Amino acid sequence: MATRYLEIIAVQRPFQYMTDDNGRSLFSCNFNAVAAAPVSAFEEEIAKLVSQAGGGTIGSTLLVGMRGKIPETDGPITLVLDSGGTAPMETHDGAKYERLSFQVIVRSKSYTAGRDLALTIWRALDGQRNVTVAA
Amino acid sequence: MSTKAVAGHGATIAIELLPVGSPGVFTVIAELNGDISWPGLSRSMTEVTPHQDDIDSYVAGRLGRESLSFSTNYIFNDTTHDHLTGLQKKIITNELFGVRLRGPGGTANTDEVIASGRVESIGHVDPVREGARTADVSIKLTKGQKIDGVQVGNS
Repeated sequence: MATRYLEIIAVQRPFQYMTDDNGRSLFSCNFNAVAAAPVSAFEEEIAKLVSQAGGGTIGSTLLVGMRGKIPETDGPITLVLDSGGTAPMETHDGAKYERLSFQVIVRSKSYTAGRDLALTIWRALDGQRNVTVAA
Repeated sequence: MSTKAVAGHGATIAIELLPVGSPGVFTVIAELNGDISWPGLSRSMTEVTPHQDDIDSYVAGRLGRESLSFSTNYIFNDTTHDHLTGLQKKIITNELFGVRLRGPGGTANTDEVIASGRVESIGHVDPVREGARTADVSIKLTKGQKIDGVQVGNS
């Protein structure tokens, strides 16, 4: 089932926030989104947009949710995480719009490769409006 | 102890799209997204206290109504919003039309106000960064109305 997103808005520019045990830099960017309810496959739909932006191949270098160990390759590896959002908006006649949020984390041994990919994803997702996405 | 409060969510405002061709046929205005201010009733009070009295006295003026104001998610081509049959058309043509308000779960003659009115203002906003298109609307009621089927005012 496809979801109609009214907007996808970046909260900030991507930034490096840590390195992991394998010496890979982690770049993070948080986003808010609003979509017509119901939204079921949120992370998968966002991952599709990330993939279309060149942010990785779903299932190998582009992962969704925390589902086990991150591959120990040099990367870049992109992770899309649902970060909870806030309460939905409602109208009196029963329409509902979900207020969603998510985090994109790019993990890479190469600092510049990780940063550049994070920037590419950020530029592609920020400001997406009135788009319909099916996972 | 009785607990009778009810949530306000689910109130509706319906209008006659074709008050001449199809009078009495109401269509619910789409996607009301904020608080609905029902047209409150009021009377102006004039003080008539005589000099010899030691407490004030008043006479009440005629019954008046505040405007019905509400906001919606603006949908440019919705029949209740647009310029062909909706609220925009009604202010353009200065059309007098029927308005029906119902509280949450309201039905015919139950938690219901029916009146006639004209759109006195409508405008919409497109946010540049975040948020949906929204419109603010004000309707001025005119002449008599019915509250739960009971006539109030005769003109």
